Amino acid sequence: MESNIRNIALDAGEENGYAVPEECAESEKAIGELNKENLKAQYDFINLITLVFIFLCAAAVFIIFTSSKRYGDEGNKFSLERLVSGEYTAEIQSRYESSLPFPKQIRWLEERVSLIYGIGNTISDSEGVKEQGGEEMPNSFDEPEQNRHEEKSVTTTTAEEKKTQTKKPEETAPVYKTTYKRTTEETTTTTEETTTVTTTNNDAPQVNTTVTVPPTTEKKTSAATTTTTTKKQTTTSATTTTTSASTTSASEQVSDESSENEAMEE
Amino acid sequence: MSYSDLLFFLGLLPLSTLFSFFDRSTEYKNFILIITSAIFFSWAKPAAVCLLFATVIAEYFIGLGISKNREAGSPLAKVLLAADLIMNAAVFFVCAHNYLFNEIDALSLSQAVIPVGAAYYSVRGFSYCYDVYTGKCRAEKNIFCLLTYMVSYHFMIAGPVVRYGDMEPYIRKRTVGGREINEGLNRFITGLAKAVLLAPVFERIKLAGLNSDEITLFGSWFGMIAFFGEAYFMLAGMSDMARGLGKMNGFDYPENYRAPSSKGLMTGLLESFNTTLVKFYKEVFDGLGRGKKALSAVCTVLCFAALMIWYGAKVNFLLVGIAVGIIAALEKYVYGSKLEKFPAAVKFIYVFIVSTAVLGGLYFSSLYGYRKWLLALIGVGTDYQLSVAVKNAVLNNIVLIIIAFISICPFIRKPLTAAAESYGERSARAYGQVRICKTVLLAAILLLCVITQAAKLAV
Repeated sequence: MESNIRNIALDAGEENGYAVPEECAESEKAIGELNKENLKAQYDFINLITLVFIFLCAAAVFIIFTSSKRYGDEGNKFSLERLVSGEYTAEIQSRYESSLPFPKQIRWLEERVSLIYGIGNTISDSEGVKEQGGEEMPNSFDEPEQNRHEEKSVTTTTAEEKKTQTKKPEETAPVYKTTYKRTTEETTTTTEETTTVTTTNNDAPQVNTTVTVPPTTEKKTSAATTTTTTKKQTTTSATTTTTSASTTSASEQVSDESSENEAMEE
Repeated sequence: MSYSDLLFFLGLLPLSTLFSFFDRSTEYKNFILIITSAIFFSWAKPAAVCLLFATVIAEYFIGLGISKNREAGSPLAKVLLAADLIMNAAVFFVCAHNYLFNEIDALSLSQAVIPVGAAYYSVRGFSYCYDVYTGKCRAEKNIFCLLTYMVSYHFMIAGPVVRYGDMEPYIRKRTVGGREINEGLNRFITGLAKAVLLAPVFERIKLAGLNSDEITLFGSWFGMIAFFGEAYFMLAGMSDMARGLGKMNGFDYPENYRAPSSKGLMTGLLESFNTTLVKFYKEVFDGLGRGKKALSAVCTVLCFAALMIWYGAKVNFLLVGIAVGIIAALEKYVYGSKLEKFPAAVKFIYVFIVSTAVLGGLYFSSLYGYRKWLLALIGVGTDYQLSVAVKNAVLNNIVLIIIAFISICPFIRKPLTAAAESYGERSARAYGQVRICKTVLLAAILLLCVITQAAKLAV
């Protein structure tokens, strides 16, 4: 039995008539495919980690760096009733969207980034409104009373305001005329209405207004009031061309300073 | 809530994905999916909108009834199917097109309570019972599986119309690993870019071109092409996001928006847009035709009319649907086979002109506007050739327009992707370079989308 067992020397394969088989071409191919799969998996992992990192960083920035509390404070107390009615979640959404961190920086960044979208993009002014040839949002071919797109109701208003201004240069635009005639408190209200008109999809319309001041009977107090109001309204008009936020802050300045003047006069 | 909302893709989506990993069982993943869908569906709306999901109970019992009566050969199966159709049609018209009931107080709902995605929800419900009736799938005995299918937020807003038979294997068993999450994220980001970066560009061109105060020849053409572009990229983007979300949860949904092509003439073009919905409608209406040429032609017309009504329950949508149906029937039974023999350029011109002229009717709510625009296409009633607004809208966004064009043109996109793949196959290093470029590109796109969406809110 043991004599039948022979030590086979691989080196001497050819001498003994035993040819060592060459590596199969198919096995090399299989090894190559496996290497490709491994490589693909590695880069898939890098891709996944990179994208998840960006997601989590963006989520963290928008949660951590907020300017106001969002959840559970007095303005948005959790209760089952408010949850069922949708008020709680609507308030969370509203607060999240209104308290994004670094709004000016984000707008600045968005304007710079949009420069690469095409030719001729410019950055208009420090308030950050981008000019695009001064275009305004137009109407459709449909007759005005049949306009069916939401943004058209806004653009129609804007276009009408502009038309009113071009045709009657001595008159103010309806909203500003009303603003002037009202008290400072009403100025603020009117400006808020202006804010609601502006949509997030549209650029703020370029509106230039002139404010005319009719004479009043009360000379001392009213003149002082008139002067103050006139000056401030000019400022209000100018800043309205940019962003609604600026308009709001300008009108708050108007109301604050006018009320201070009135207090001093009293 | 929408897929492109910051609060969704930076809040709800990561949390939902994270929670779904706490357990490997499919039942747990389905549970998380149902909870996330309920939150998505009822976000900032009264919880009562979730009452819509009560129709799942009706679908469950109707499905069981249809299956039992179908096996017994009873005509009650047809009656139950008709009842299901009426129920889903009611949901569709009351929830998705509530403006039809503005003058009926009992049915008129405020915008705050109208559930999102009711149109696709109703189609999904009817498709389940239809598939049970035709024997394509068996009636589901586990109501939670059916609930997972019906309420899944993945395809709530923009489809695809996934059939229950295709989704059932995933509902019962699926695995989610790094590869699925990676592919899903890539798809989601691509869709987000289409909806957030590309669609608004076409909206701006549309509004500049279709301006009745300044009617121009090129503005009429560009404006209408931009109208189609806006609709395509918005819906295709949403659908891509849906596929990405599904992939991240272990589902594999079919492609819903193909690149527009003149290959199948006008019918092929229509089928490339919302493919799964068109396929379902054709299946239902072709089943009514049953071999008779005249009846099939009528069913084709009715199919496209019903499809357009689905998009918008308005007169102009109905008229466009009928026109498109007539063209599809003519192509199928009269001149389609002859036109197929013509060169590709001729077919392209035919499809381009017919689709622009006919589908352009969707934009106008009156014949006055439509006629005015049609005349403007040939230069009648135009002030001049090109307005400053249209020129600026195009030039200011030319890079994005080129990218959009490349993404839908296979004869440009395919050579580019083939060249990248062939370069990557040279060596491991080359492959790494290609992959790193793709990753950097996706990361840049994601950052652009986040900045764009945040800038809209940062007022």
